[in-house]
This record gives sequence, structure tokens and C-alpha cells, in this order.
Amino acid sequence: MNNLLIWPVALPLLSALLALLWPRRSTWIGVAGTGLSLSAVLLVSRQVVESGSIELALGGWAPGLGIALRVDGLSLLMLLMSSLVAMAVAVYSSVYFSDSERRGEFWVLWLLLITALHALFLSGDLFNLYVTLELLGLSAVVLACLGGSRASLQAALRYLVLGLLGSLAFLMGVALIYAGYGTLDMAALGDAIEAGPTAWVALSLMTGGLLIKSALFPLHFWLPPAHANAPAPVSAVLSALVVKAALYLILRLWLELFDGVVTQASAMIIGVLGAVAVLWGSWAALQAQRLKLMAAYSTVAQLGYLFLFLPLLAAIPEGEGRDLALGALVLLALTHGFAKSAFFLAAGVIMQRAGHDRIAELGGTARALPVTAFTIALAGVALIGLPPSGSFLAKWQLLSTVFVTGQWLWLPVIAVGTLLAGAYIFRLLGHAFAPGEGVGPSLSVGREEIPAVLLALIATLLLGFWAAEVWELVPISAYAGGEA
Amino acid sequence: MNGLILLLPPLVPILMALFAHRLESRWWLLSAALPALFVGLMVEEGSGITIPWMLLGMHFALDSTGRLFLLFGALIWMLAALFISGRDLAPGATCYIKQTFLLALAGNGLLILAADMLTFYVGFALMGLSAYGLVRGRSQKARRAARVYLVFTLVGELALFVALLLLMVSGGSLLFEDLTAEPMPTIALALLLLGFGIKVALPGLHLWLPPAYTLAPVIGVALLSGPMMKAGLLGWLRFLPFGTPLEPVWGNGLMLLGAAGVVLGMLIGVVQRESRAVLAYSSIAKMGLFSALVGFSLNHPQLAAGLLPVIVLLALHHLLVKPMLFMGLALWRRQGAAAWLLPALVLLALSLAALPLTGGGAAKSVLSAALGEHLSGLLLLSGIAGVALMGRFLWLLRGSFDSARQDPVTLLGWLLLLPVAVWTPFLWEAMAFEWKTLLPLTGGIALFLLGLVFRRWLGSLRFPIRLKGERIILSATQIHTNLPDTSNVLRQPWLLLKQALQPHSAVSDSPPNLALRSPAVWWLLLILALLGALSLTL
Amino acid sequence: MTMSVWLPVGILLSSFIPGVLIFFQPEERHRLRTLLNLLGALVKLLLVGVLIWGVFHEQVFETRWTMAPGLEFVLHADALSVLFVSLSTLLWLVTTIYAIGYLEHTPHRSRFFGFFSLCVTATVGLALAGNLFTFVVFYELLTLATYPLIAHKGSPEALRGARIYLSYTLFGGLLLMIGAVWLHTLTGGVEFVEGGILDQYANLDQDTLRWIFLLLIVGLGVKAALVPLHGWLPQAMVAPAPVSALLHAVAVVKAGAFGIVRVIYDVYGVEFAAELGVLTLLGTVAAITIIYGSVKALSQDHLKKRLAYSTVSQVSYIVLGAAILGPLATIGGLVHLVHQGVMKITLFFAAGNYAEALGIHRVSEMDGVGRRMPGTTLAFSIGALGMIGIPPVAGFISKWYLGLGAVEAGAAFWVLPVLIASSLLNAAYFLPILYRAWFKSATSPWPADKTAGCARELPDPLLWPPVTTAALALLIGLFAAAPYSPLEWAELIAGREYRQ
Repeated sequence: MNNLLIWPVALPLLSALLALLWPRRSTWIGVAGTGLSLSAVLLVSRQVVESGSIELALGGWAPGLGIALRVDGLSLLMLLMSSLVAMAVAVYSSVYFSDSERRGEFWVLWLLLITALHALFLSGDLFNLYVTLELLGLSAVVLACLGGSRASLQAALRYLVLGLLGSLAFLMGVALIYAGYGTLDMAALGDAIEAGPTAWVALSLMTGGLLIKSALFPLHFWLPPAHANAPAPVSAVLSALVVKAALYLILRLWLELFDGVVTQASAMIIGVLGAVAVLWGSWAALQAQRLKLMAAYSTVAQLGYLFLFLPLLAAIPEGEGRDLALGALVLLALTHGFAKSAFFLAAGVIMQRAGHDRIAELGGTARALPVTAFTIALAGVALIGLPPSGSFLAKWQLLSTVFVTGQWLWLPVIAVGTLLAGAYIFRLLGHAFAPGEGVGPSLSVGREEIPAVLLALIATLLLGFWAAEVWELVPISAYAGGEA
Repeated sequence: MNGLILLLPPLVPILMALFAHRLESRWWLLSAALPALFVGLMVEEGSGITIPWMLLGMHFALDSTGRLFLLFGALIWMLAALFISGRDLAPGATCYIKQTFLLALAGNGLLILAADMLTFYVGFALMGLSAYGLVRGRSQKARRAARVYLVFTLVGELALFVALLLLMVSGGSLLFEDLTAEPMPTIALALLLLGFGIKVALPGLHLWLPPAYTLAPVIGVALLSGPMMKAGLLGWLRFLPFGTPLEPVWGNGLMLLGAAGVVLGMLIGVVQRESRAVLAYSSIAKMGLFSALVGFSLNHPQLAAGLLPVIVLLALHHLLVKPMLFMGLALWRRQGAAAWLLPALVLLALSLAALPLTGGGAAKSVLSAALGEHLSGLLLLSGIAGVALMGRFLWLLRGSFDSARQDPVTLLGWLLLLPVAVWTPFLWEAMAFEWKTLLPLTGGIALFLLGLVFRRWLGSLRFPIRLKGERIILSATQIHTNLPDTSNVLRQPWLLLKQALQPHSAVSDSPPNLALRSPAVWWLLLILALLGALSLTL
Repeated sequence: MTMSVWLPVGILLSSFIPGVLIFFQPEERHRLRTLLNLLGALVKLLLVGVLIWGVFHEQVFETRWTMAPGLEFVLHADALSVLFVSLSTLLWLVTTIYAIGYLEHTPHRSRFFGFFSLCVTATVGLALAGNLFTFVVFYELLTLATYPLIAHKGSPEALRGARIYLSYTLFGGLLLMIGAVWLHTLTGGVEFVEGGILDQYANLDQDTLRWIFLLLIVGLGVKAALVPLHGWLPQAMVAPAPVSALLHAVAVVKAGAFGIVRVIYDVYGVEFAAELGVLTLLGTVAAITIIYGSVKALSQDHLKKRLAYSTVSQVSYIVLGAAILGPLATIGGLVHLVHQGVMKITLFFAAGNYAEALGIHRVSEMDGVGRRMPGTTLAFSIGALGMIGIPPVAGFISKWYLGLGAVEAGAAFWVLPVLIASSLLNAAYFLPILYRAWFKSATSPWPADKTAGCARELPDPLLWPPVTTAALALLIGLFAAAPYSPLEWAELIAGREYRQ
């Protein structure tokens, strides 16, 4: 029964091989592979909901020797998000890349990316994590330069270099851990690690590397150009999923592995950086002249929110209160994932239709592309954090945690960030609703518009009204224990 | 069943007002007052009805005072309806005389039949505000006069509104019959005096009256001087706590103001050059007397019971005679000063001047009897004022005519009502003659002659309509109606202040005249009059 | 049992579903859209009728749904909700009819009616919200649903107005949310309970509660257009007339006022709030707003702007009523919630009609319009007289109870002057309009005469809504003491709030 855990990784990997062998049918294979892995994830999730976390040791060896796959509430939610987003983006890509000659390459890389993502979320030991992280980074870089323009190549190159730097730092951290504790299995490490120089250095190295990958201010500079210049579906997964993977790892490290090591001061530093990211990212998004650049800066800001949670989490003792905050964090990440991917897909539609994405010239969009405009509005609602989106609930809990912990510092940050988000989203909507001929006459609703609107609906309605599930899933932990 | 009939006087005119644009005959309007007449004649006193679900609960009742006001008021309303010109009856008429006439009539009926304060207030407001359409003449000046009237009326309504609030909270009930249960809050008392004082034109609150009386159409001025003005008095009679001891300052104050009104009306009235202006000041003088009597009754609870019916009687007489005079004046002019109308007018004037053998004289003798030794000075003064003003009025009849269309129906109606107006008080008092009553006559004639002699010298006083205070109010309303010429609002108080400070502001179209026109002189005159009245009353 | 759960949801869905369906209708399917709209409105009216009956007989209608741990989405119908729900529902029906006539042959009607229905859904949701969290949710939704309506014309002014609206309301919504979260953290959940809940938490720091009150009121005050947070309202009048009408009468402005009432009565509890001393401040702000709005209205020549400032002034009556301790003032404030809505919607309908039929946008262009459009002008006059407080129009009742409440609470010395000054100012800015309309004669041709040669003043869907609401304003004033009248209902609420 536990063999289920293999399928979310194995199915996309097999599909990738198939696509490589049979490039002419790559579109079909890609969509089908993504769909299959989605169904595998759904099966896994049913299992988790029914019986809690699952663990699988590949090859029959005990953890510590073989490859351990584990799924708990947190990883399940990430898995669900990534496979759902991937499914939608895949459908969209089947249209987007239908005439492209790089179709074959795209689908292979795409399936690899999904493989890496799923493997990352399922991995139970640090080395596997490193491998999947590297695989994820590389496939993302190659995908990012599929656009082929000079700007996108430059951006991808920078992305590559920084990504490698980040992975390297992570790898060094992993090596230190192995040297210090003799195991890389996370469940075992959770109990073993104690405060000390080794732990501190390892944590700093690993966190630093992951911070580069998750583009926390001031290490964010590679992200906007890379995300803005990639093809729309790629931008969507980059912003929605790939950065979340790094964030997921940070959470795992901080909350489970290095639970006793983390000091409030270090968490505060991360929090302050997150705060600056919120403000700076929002401000830059407000200034952005191009739609995708705006979305990319918005990603920087939204990631900042997620990092705001760290000092709060560190301040709350383990228990219900922390699960509440953690759930809010996850919910915010999920909502952002869905909303941002929807936003990028919609931006892609507009770009294809209008031939540009200059915000000031988007007049007439609402009339020509009502569904897409609606998508942008819905996604925007989620990005600002207005009800009924999931991010509204998350922000509510975030504020609540701020009040509980008394860390008032974050209050103005959240407030200003929300207002700035409102400003940039509605600036865009203002232009989109203005009369104009920038986008051309209305056509029928296209297949490429549907996935985006579904994603946006998930972010604004589903995650808003059924978010309680998130809080039920998050406390299911495969690494229970820690200090206890 | 009887109770429901009480609803008709207000209800019928309101329903007719809904279809007023279809009513092209003045007989329709006349008939609107028939329910009031019917109720006044046929319904027995003491009947009443309560409609709890209407407004905040409405109570109607008919008492003797109400019956008289309703009955004689109805006569005036009916006659006034005949004075509506054909132009105003036409379907496309823009003056809305028909509508406002009907609404004001309804309001009048409502307030007379009201048995609680709120119902009274509603009727009073309905009447007062609708009357705007009746007061508003066609000339520019007449419109301004109507605007001043409206501003004063609104202020009066608000004062009453607040007074009602205070009474409601202090007494817990709005019924007139519960009114005396609790001592009245001082502020409520002051506001009642103010609110009705505007309608009654107490000196200082009278500023709306001379322009309105001089410039309004006949129908407007007739109704205003008759039923509406008396509604203010009726308000006092209904609301004020007669029969309970009160701080004497209120009664004294009211007496002083009333006396001042008598003096003021007399002094200014005798030098007017316009017949209607004379009648206007005569109204001020007369209402001054009533106010003083009300004040006196307030101070003398033991006398109040006997005095109040007399005040009602006097008021009724005035209610009938003053509109008759205004309408008669209009007829006089229309008929080209036909000599045979003169006796009728003289008769009315004499009755108003309270000469013996007229209703006025009868009423006055009743009053003297009720008062005994009190207030004899004021009565004398009032008598002198009446004679002098009526003399002036008759004097001015010479040469004041224009040639308008003759209208036999109206004339007939007026003549029919004439005896009623002149001799009604004899229903209460047998006809009698006393030499003593001729005393004011000599004084009045002397004053009238003095006025004639010094007319030139006093000429600058002849049309003191545009007092400073009015100008301020006028310019205030001006600013808001002549949009978009509005400058910064914050400057407006400053503008008003500036206009008030500058004697010759650009708004004024009055001729550059003597210092007598400046407000300081007027106030000085007012104070002098007050002092005089004080010496008389004490 | 099931009905008591489903009725609140049904009331929400009866406008939400038509709204969503309308979005997907092509522009030219005029009839289907009208059918959907009217069907939704009528169903809602029916359901609200059931609700009124039930709440009057003390039945409990409640829907609960856990959205997050500790955060419950609660729809709950109490007497106060019913007051606001009935107002919204009734005026939505009227406004929909009006909007159908008003927007005939204009583009983007599907979008318009879609958002229009959502706007009403949000308003009704606000009314039915059973706790502060749900209230915040709908408060923000209302912002979202209204924005496209204000921006509907797409012109630069419309977009500018919408932007200003949004910047104000997002700011307000944020403050409200912060305040709500704070309070939520302290108490562990803020249900709306008649009589308030905070007096049960004796251990809470009073200063903290004052700060939270401030946050909540500022957040709500933005929508209620309290000075100095009113700046968006005059700008938002660029919206089409039906939107302005709904905005000023029911949806946005009222939502703010309703929220303030909720916070004072059902969260803090009016007695507790008075104990904290926060009501005095609120009352002062309301008084300033009343006077300020009226003074500003005086100098506006643009008709809708004048009406907008008038709204600023009038809505604060509700706040004033809530800020005075005592059942009578409460009744005055609550009943004004309904009365102001009915009267103001009449005025805006009429203003829309003037613009639609004759191109009149300014007061100075209104000379003689009474003879040309008697029905509309009559409706306008009734509304205006009601605003001044002339009996027996509804506004008088509100003022009467506010005044009574002020005297009863011993606040007469400052409330009554405010009421008087406001009445005079109202007269000063409304009566000249009536004067122009009725008594002056037209000297110049109308700016854009679109109905020249028509036998009727206006098409039925434009003429009847203002006439209906004007008649309603007159009737609810005239029959204020009748059963099921707004006044009776307000008395019912006040009785329950003061736990008598």
C-alpha cells in the first residue's frame, strides 16, 4: 500500500522518458503524464487523510541507508498544490506551445521539473533533498530560457549561477551534518541535532542557500528578470512552485530539524528581511511598467510575507498556537501558488493577444478578454489578501499571531504591504477596464483561458471556504517528536 | 362615528390637493372648506378620535375654542377661495396657488382639531410651509418677501419642534390634557413663546410681516392675517400652562413685548403711505394686545379661566375683520373706488377700532369687564392705536384704485360675510353703548392728525420693510439661490458679517436715505416703545 | 430545522446566483437578463418576508461554517439584520427596475448587472453576518463588488472616482480588519449578541478596548463617510445614477453605518461603550460630520454632488443616534437607517431622471423643470422635504426620536443645536432646488432634451421607481406607528438591545 508514494515521482519521470523518445507526441504525453501524477497525488492524499503520514523505504532498506520517501500534512499540501497547478499549466501549455518548435524540449523538461518537485516534497533525507533541489533548479533554468530572447538568456544565466551557488551552500550544510551526526535521515536527525557550532554553521549554510533560491530580499534580484522573461507557463510554475520548494525546505529545517537550534534573533533577522521584501517588492510592483515584471515583483513581496511568519513561529511554543500559525503560512503559500500561476497564465493570454504586456496600454482588455480580466481580478483579490480568498484567512491569522506574540513591528509592514498590493492590482485593473483598442476585438473564450480561471477560483473561493482542511492536515507530521 | 367626521376637514383638502391640477373652478376650492364648516356647525363638542397607527399616534378632538376657530376660519377660507384669479386656476398655472391653498387649509383644520401636540405641530407646519405659495407674489420684491416669510416660518417650526421634544421627555405624553401635569421646562416655554411668537409677530419677530402683508396676493394676505396668524395665538392658548403658577418673568416679558407691539404698530402704522402697510402694522398692534393679554393670563392663574374665552372672542373678531378689510381693499380697488363700498369698509374699520355698537366694541367691553382694573392703560393705548390706524387706513383709501376686472360673485360673497364679521361678538354680549368707550377715539384721531401733519417729516419711515435684519436674511437666502455664483462657503459667514456691517451694501436697492433707516435708530425706537409700555402697564 | 439553516444562505444566493449567471449572458440577451434579475429580487423579497415573520416570532435562523480554526462564517438573522436586509431587498428590487430602464441600449450591461447583484449580495451578507469575522469578509466583498460599478462608464473621471473610492475603502477595510483581529485575539471570537459581549470580559485592558474601538470605527467610518474620511463619496457620484442611488441609500454608506451600530450595540454593548467614554468622541465626530456635510452641500451646484454631501450629513444621524446612550436615540438612529435610504434613493433616482431626460446635471439648470417633469419633481420634493425633516415625511420621525433621545440622555445641549442647524442647512440647500424646479420658469433650453415630443414624461421603469420610493417615504412616515413599520421594528430592536 505504501508503494503509492513512488507513483507521484515515477509517473512523470517515465513520461519524461517517453516524451524524449517520442517527441512528436510530446504534448499528449506531457499532459497525460501530468494528469497521471496528479491522480497519483490524489490517491496519496486520500491515504494520508485516512491514516496519517506514510513512510516508504525504497528497496526495503531501513531509513538511513536507503532512499526514504515520506509524506505528511505539510508535504501533502505542497504536493497537491504543485500537481494541481502543474495540471492547469500543462493544459495551458498544450495551447501555448502548440506551434512552437521547442515543444519537445519543453515537455521533457516540464516532466522532469514535476518529477523533481514531487521528489523534493516526498524526500525524507537530506541528500535526496539536495539532489532533487539541484534537478529542480537545473530544469527550471533551462525552461526559463526557452523563450530564446537575449534578455531571457541573460536572466536564465544569472538564475543558473545563483541557483548553483545556493545548492552548493546547501550541499556544504548537508556535508557538515553528515560529518557531525552520521546520518542524513531527517526523522533521526530531528532527535539528534542539538545546539552547537556544527548545527549553527550547517543551519546557516543551508538556510543561506535556500534563501537565495527562495529569493528573499536582498537575494531576490535574480528573480524578477528570470520570471518576467520566461514563457508564461514557465513563469507560472517558477513563481508558484519552484520558489515554494525552497521555502518548504526552510520550514522543514527550521521547524523540525533545527528546532532547538534556532534562536529568536536569527528568526528576527529573517523576519526583518521578509518585511523589507514585502515593502520593496510591493513598491517595485507598483512601479513596474510591464505586467509580468509586476507579477514577478509581487512574488518577491508575497515571499516576504511567508518569511514574516518565521520569527512569529519561533516565538510561539510548540502546540496548537503554532499549528495555527503554521497552517496560516501554508495556506498563504498555497493561495499564492494558485493565484500567482493564474495571474501569469492570464498575463500570457494577454501577451499573446496584444503582443505586449505594457500595463499602460492594456485598455480594452476587459472587453476583449472578459474571462482573462476576471481571472486577473480574482487572482488579484487573492494577492491583496481580500476575502474570500485563502490569503485573507492567512493574513487574519498572521495578524492574530502578531497580536498574540506582541511583535508589533510587523503590523505596519502587513498593513502597508496590503495597501501597496491593492494599489498595484487595482492600477492594473483600472487600465484593463479602461476603454481602448490595445488588445483587439473579442474572440470566443479559448481553451487557454480556462485553466487560469480555475486556478484563480481555487485561490479565491476553494481555499477561502474550505481552508479548514489545511489546518487539519498541517499538524500531521512525519517527524513528530523533535524536542519531545 | 362622530370621531371620524373630525378627520374630514384636514383629509378632504389633502385629497383634493392630489387632483388640484384638474380643479379648474374656484367653487371646488371653496367646497374644500365645507367639511370644516360642517364640523364647526354640526358636530357636538367633546367628540374625539384617536388613530394610534398614524404618525406617532394622532388624536383629534373638538372643543369650544376649536369649534369657533374652525367655523369662522372656514368662512374666511371660503371667501378667500373666491379671490383666486382665473390665471391661477388654469391647468398650467405655475404658482401652485390651488395646491398650496388646499394644503394650508388642511393644515389649518388639522391644527385646530388636534388633541395632541404633535398633530398640532404637523398641522402648523403644513399650514405654515404651504402658505409660502400663497404669499409669493409675482414681483421680485414679493418673492423676496415670501422668502423672508419662509425663513421665519422654518425657524418657528424648529423652535416648536425642540419645544415638543422637551415637553415629551418631561411630561411623557403629548396630549394637551396631560400638559399641566408636570411643570413646564423653562426652555420649552421660551421656545413656545418664540415659535408661535413668530406667527403672532411679536416685536422683533415681526420682521417678516410688513413685507409679506404689503406684497402678497390678496388671497395670501387675507389668509395670513386671519386664520393663520390666529393659529399662532391658538398655539399659545393650547400649549401654555395657564392656571399653574409660573415665574412672573415670562408673563411680564410677554406683556412688555405685547405692549411694545402696540406702540410700535401704532407709531409706525400711522405714517405709512400704503393701505396694506397700515393694516399690517395694525395687525402687529392688535396681536401685541393679544400677546399682552396672554402674558397677563400667565401671571394671573386665577383670572385666566375667565380671560381666555375673551381672548378667543377678540381673536375671532380679528380673524374675521382683518381678512375682510384686506379683501375689501382689493374689491375697492377693483371696483374703481365705488362710493357705495365705502360705508362697508368704514364699518369694518370701526369694528376693528373697537368703536361702540360694532362687534369690536362689544368684544372690548367684554374684555374690560373680565380684566377689571388691570391693564387699563394698555387697553386705552390699544384703543388709540386702533382708531389712529383705521383713520389712517380710511384716509389712504382716497385715490388708491386700479381698474381690474369686476367680479360680482366675489363681491357678493364679501358683502354676505360682512355682517358676520362686524357683529359676531354680539352673540356673546348684548349691544350696549358707553361714553367711556369713546375715550380712545379722541386720542386716536389726534394721533392720526399728528401723523398727517408730520407726514413729510416722517416720510422716510413710510416703507420700513427692508430692515437690516431682513436684508441679512435676504442676502443669506440670496446667496444660496443664486448658484453657481457661490464663493467659498467658509467665507459666507464673513460675507454676511460684512453686509451687516456695511450700511450701504451693494445688495440694497433702497434709496440712499436718512439715518433713520439704520437699524440702530429702529432699535432705539423699539426700546423707547418698550419703556413707554412699561410705564403704562405698571 | 433545516429551514432555519438554509434561509440565510438562500437569501444570499437569491442574488448571488442570478449575478453569476448574468455575467455569462451575452450583451444582447436583454430579456433573459431582466428575467433573472427580477426573479432573483422577487425570490429574495419572498424569503425576506419569511425571515421577518420568523424573527418577529423569535425564531432562530443561523448558518455556521468553519473557515479556519476559530474563524467561523456565521449567518445569523436578528432583528437588526432584518431591518437592513429588508431595506436592501426592497430597494434592490426598485433599483433593478430603474437600472433596467436607465441603462437601456448602453454597453456592458451584463457586467453591470452581475456586479450589481454581487453588490447586493455583499450588503445582505453584511446584514446577516453573525460575527465580526463574517462582517469583515462581506465588508471587503462589498468594496470589491462596488468598484466596477463606480468605474462602469470607463471614462477618466469614472476611473478616477473609482480609484479614490478604492483607496479610501481598502484603507478602511484594513483598519477594520486589524481591529477585528485584535479583538478576536483578546476574546477568542466576536459573535454579535444583542446587548454586547465585551462587558463580560472584565479582565481586558480598557485602553486597549478603546484603541480597538477607534480602529473599528475608523475602518467603518470610511464607508459611513464620517468627516474626515468622507472624501471618496462626492467623487463616487460619477457612477451611473442607479449605482449612486444604491450606494448612497443602501449599499456602501449604509454598510458603514450599520457596522458602527453593530459594533456599538452588539459587540461593545452600548452601556459598556458609554462606560469606556468612546461614545462622546463618536458623537462629536458625527455632529461635526452632520454640520460639515450640510455646509459643503450648500455650495455645490452639481446636483449629484449636492446630494452626495447631503448623504455625508444624513448618514451621520445614524451614527449620532448610536452614539447617544438611551433607547430613544437608538430608535432614531436605527429608523433613520431605513428612512434615509428610502428618501435618498428617491433623490438620486430623480437626479438620474433629470440627467437622462433633459441632460440636467446642475442645480442652476433646473429652472422650471417641475412643469416639464412633474412626477419626478414631486418625488424629489417629497424626498427633499423629508431630508429637512418636515412632517409627515419619514425624516421627521428620525429627527423626532433622535431629539427625544438626546433630551432623555441629557445630551440636548449639544445634540439639539446640531439637529436644528442641520435642519436649517438642509432647508437652505434643498428648498432653493424646489424653488427653481417649481416656481421658476425655464429661461434657456434644456441642456440635452431627449424626451422632446414624447407624450409621457419618461418611460415607466424610470418614472415609477422614484414615485414608488417617494410614496414609501411618505407612508412610512405617516404610518410610523403602524405594525411592522420601520419604526416599530426599530423599537423592537432597541428593546432587545437594552435588554428590557
